[in-house]
Amino acid sequence: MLDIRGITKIYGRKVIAVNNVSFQVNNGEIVGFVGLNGAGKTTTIKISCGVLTPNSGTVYVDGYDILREKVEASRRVGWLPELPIFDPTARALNLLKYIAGFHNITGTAAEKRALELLKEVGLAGLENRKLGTFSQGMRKRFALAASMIADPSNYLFDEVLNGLDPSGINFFRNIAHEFKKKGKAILFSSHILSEVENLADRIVIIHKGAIIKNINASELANIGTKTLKLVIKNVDEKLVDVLKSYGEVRIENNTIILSNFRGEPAEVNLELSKMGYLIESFNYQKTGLEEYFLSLVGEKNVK
Amino acid sequence: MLNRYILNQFFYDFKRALRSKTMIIITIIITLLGSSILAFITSPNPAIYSLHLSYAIYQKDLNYAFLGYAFNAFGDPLQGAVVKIELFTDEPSSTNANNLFSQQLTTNSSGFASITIPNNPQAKYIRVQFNLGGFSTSQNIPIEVVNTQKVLLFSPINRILDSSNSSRYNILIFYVDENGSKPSDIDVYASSHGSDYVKIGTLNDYVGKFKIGPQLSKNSILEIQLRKGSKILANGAIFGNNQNQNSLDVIAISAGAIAGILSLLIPLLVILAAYNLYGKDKINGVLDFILSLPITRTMLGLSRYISILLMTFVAIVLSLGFQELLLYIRVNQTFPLSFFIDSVIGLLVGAAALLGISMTLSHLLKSTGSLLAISIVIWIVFGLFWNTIIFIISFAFGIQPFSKDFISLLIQSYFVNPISFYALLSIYVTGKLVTLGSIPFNPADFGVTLLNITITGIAWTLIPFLIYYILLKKKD
Repeated sequence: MLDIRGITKIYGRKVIAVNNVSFQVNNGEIVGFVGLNGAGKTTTIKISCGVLTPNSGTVYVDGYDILREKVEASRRVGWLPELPIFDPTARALNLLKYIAGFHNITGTAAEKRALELLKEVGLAGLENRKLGTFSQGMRKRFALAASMIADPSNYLFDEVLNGLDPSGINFFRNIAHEFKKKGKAILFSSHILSEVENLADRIVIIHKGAIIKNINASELANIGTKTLKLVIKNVDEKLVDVLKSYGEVRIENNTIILSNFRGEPAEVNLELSKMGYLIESFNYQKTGLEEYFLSLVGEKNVK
Repeated sequence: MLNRYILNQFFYDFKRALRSKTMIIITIIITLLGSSILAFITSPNPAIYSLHLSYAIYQKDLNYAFLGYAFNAFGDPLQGAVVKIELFTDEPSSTNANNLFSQQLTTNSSGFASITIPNNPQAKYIRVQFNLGGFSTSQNIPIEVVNTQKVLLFSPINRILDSSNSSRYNILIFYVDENGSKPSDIDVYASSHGSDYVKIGTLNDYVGKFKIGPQLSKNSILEIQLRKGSKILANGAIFGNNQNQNSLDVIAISAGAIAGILSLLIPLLVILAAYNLYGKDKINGVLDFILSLPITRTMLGLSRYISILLMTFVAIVLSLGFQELLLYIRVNQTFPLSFFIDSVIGLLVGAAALLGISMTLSHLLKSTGSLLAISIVIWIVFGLFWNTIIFIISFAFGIQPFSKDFISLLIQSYFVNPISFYALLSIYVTGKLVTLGSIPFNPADFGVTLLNITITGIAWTLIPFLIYYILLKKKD
């Protein structure tokens, strides 16, 4: 479990990267972490894994303070940065063995674990390749292997989907689900909001260094608006009465616009067909997390 | 528990530092430069290295015979020395001289060369030429002189250096008995300042080395006699002048050259290593990933600092050790221990200071290009051109070069330059300013005292490190 408590980070004297940020990521939960560029996502994640030091506040990893108990806290959290950077001259297997050493896994056990992980992340056969020759996707897979060495109970995925091909995106999506099933806490930041929407149990939105919205599972299901547009020749009052039970009806020329649509489009289609109405055009639109997010960040105090 | 994490990190960093191209290339450059200088300094040269040939020309049957022994400053045999024996009808340099006989010999592994010279009634001179590694000498001996004695000896009594202590003298006796036979039971006597002759050994071979007991002071004389029973076979003397300074010069010149190379290249090694193994990693973000592992930033920072410093120590010791070995092979001498200690301490203090400065810059600069550029500029200003800069400053202020004021300014400037700490320490230890042609003076007159040196050394080691440590802890 990750417990981020009131962290503030100021670069230099004036640039406030994050301001009193607090939220939790529970075990067996994927929390989507979204925000515009420069909103403070990476800073929050870097503080959470001990790479950066906050000016105030702290992060507890399974109860260990990342500032005061750095070694114990870091043993329990794996970090996947957006652009993993390793010593380009290091070889994959050697670097994993070295990382294993921090977790008291040494000798043949370290080698065995490293080989297992390289296979698991799809890098088998590249054990002796220098990391400088790895592509971005391969480096992300390697970073995943490195973060999994000690099988930590918490993971921080920082924009890991950026720059990946569809198979890479699918791989990391599946990994996140797998971790969740194993009861691990996952903080998942991404610009691909549709991915976050599908993946996350909960979403935390950060804007200009502050948390502006914490959307729980039930809220997430109801986010956004649905609109159904129908073109029907023989519009009458009976039809309007039926459609009113699905949402707010507005008629423009031959087009009926059902805003704040409730229900399933297929259900409407079937019912109207049974009633003998001839549907010339049927258009269903759903505004999701992305529009909701944009509306939020465009309006500072939306709660 | 924590120690294990530190060691894991430290061993990784140290191994990486030792294997870094910077370390390997610069150590090789230092070694090659040092070797080439040593090879140049120690090549046979009359100014700095003694070569000797003792020989005898004796009558054998109706002909003459030559037996020579080539040896170095320590009396050890020299193999491969070329000896040319010629017979001439006149003084060899005259235009009337005709060459009647010419034979070239090479000394064997025991240092000996021998030949029979055919008797020729027209022969008036024997010329003996000796050559080794470009150094040659020749001697023209009139035949009538050869005919006056059954055995004519050249340089039978020689002063040599004690191979275990080059500041001491021994003597080497070369003697050939009648018909070229080996001498036997020839007693060697020595007398210092007219005192009674004291027997110092017995010669039973062509060549023998003898210890002379109390050492000669400068300009004193030790007279030597070779006796067989009561008969005096030969007389000679050796002088307590500063002849062995030649050998010591080899050490001093070599040490100066090696120190110059080390003081220039070790700081470059430190600056490049700090850039490659810390600065680049810090700015590029490699350190971020390591910081996400179970290690504190203090442990990581210290591990990198100590690894680079230890790698520098290894490079210094390897470079010096190789030069020691080479010097020993060439002249059977080693650098004084004080030079070794002075070099290691002086260079390490400078390295610690530069390392602290470079690592501090790594926390202040945002691009690897600017870090590398500034690091190189620091090396150029403080390492390469410091003396030139001081020279220009003194010129601008009208201070005469090599005057007392100039030397004072130069030495004071060494206190504010970490790379010059090595020079400062050398000044204290040797009492000489090597950079200005080994000018001897009293270091204390210019503030170079043990207290000042110690304070400077501690300050250069600690202050840059502490600044780096504070930034490491506080600045992201």
